Order: sequence, then structure tokens, then C-alpha cells
Amino acid sequence: MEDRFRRLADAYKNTIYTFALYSLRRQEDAEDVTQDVLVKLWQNMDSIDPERAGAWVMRVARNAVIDVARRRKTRSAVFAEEVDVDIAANYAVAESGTDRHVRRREFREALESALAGIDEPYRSILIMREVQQHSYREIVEALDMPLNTVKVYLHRGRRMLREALGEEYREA
Amino acid sequence: MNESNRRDCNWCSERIEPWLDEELSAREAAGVADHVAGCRECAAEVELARAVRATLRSLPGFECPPYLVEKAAMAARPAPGPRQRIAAWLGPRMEVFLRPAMAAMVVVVVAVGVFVLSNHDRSPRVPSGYSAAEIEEAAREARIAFAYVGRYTRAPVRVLREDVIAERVAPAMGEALMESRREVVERALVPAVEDAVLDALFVETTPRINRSKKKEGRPE
Repeated sequence: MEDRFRRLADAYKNTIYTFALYSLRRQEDAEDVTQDVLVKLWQNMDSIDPERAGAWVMRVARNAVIDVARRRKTRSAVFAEEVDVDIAANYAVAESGTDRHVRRREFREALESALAGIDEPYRSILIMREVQQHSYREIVEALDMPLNTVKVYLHRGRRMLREALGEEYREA
Repeated sequence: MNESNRRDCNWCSERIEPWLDEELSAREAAGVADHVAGCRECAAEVELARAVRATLRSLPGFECPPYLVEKAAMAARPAPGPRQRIAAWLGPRMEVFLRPAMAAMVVVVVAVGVFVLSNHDRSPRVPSGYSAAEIEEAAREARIAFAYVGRYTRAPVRVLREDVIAERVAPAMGEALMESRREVVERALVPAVEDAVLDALFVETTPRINRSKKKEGRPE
């Protein structure tokens, strides 16, 4: 059982962590989500269909992210807590300082911020489809939604991102 | 921008994403393409939509910290039972002997248990330091003391006043008890006799009083 767990954990740990980090934008929360999902993976090893392990992992990861976001909302309502942005710290390659690169980086940061700020299920669908490039089949299984619904949410999510970016980036 | 163009922009804006995904019918796709070609605002919107897609798809994945898998395994792994702990202590070479060793241990424990039970002395426990004859003598004297108590408790309750108990029961018991070894009496017999006396006086007499009242036809 331990070998099987390690194989699945190695296959999906980065997927879970990336999904959690783009959703929550804080390394500590992303680690909590990843660990939570991996513990559940161990506990449910016997009932997980190997063919659908990816969809199972994404479904559990999304639920864990929603839980953390809900707790954070409650916490920030009480303590006026600021959310740290840890994604930039995870970029391994330093970027050059030319104007074009600076603009690109600003755009990317604005997009990441907008992405983390939009509601569910738009955010999860955008991260799964656009950032992580999961297949529609995996997303449909993970979210337990019909394909057409997933596509409609994806279109709306992209439009919401454009609206969140504002006029500044329309001129560029 | 006139009203017709504004309506066209709204119509186009709703179709930009499916148009870029090539999910529109040929007729609708041609309508969007025509509008975008002639509308600077919608063309900028299409450019932004393309930039959003390209940027999202270029975002990197991140490496999960390696310790998280081990941490999760430790959190999820059930705590080892006694067998696993012994096996871990013995090491892999000795682990093969664990099952026969445990079976042998069970056999030994059962054999010892059977031996102890079959040789168990079922006679009453005698306080150490006293002979069986001394204990028998003390028990006989105690029975005499109980006999006194029994005689008085058969009488109506008014007889069992404290002064009567003090004058008759107590000296009789004291006399009987003082004749035996004091230590044996104090340690083993006095508490039992005291309990018996109390039971006889205050529990056993009550039903007899009620019965005697009924016989005499007195109102309760």
C-alpha cells in the first residue's frame, strides 16, 4: 500500500501544490492543502480507481482549497489579515529588467491576482484548464459537472479576468 | 459609436471566448470576425483575451516541497501495533522468528496458568503467624458471641436498649473475645463481629417487630 501511495503522491503532488498555490497565493496554505489531500489519498487508497486518480485528486484539492479560503475569509474578517503573495517567490528564474519584461511581469502578476480573486467554480476551472492544462474529461469528473457547463464557466471566467484587469491593459 | 454598433459590440463580446475556442457555428464565427475587423474596441478586447490565454498557459507549475509526502504519510499511517513494534525492534533478520516465538510464549503462559490453578489451595486464608488451632479457637468464641446477639435480637425491640446492649451483649462478647489471642481477634474477628451485631440489631429485628404487631392486631 505504501508503494502505491508513494507512486500516486509523486505523480500528483506538484499538481496539487500548484493548484493550491495559484488558488490561495500563499505557500503555507498551499502546503496545508497538499498535505491534507495526500493524507486523504492514503486513507482512500483502496477505493480510488487508478484510471480516475487524477480527477479524484483534483476534486479533493478543490474542496480543500475552498475550505482554506473560507477559513481565511473568517480569519481576515476578524483580524483584518492581509494575504501574502508567495507565488513570485516560487519563480526559479530571475527575470530581466527590460521594459517589455517588466510590462509582461506586471501583466502576469495582475492576472494572477485577478485569478485568485474570482469566485468558484470559475477560478478552479481556469486554473485546471488554462494553467494546468487538464483535459475537459478530467475537469468534468473532478467537478462533477456536464461538459457544456464547464465550457460556459470557462468562457465566463476568462471574461471576468479581462474585466478584473481593467482598461489599462486594453490599450497595450 | 451608434446604437447599432453598441448592440453589435455586446453581441460580439459575449462570443469572443467561444470564437477563440472555435466553438461557434460558421455563421456566428463569420459575424464576430466581421465585427472585430471593423471595431477597434472589440479588436482590443480580442487582443486582451488572447494575451490572457497565452499568459495563463505560460504560468509555471511549482515543485511541491519534498517533505510534504513524508509528512502526509506519517500523519496518515496507522500507529504500529505491538507486533510491528517488536518486529521493528528485532530487525528484518529476526522478524522471521517472531511468529514461532510468540506462539511458544503463548504455550508457556497457558501451561504456567494451568499449573498454578491446579495447585491452588482453596482452603480459607490463615493470617500468617498463627496456627490453625488458634484460628479455630477464635472462630468458636466468635460463634458464642453471635449466639448472644441472636438471643437478644429475637426479643421485642424495647429490650434492645443501649443499656441492655451495654450490660449484656457487650460484656458477653468481650469476655468471649478476650479469652482468645488478642491480636487475632482484633485483626480478623472484631470487624466481622461488629458488622454482624449491627446487622442483627438494626436490620433483622425490624421485620420481626412488624410481624409481632400484626399478630397482636395493633394498628400500624
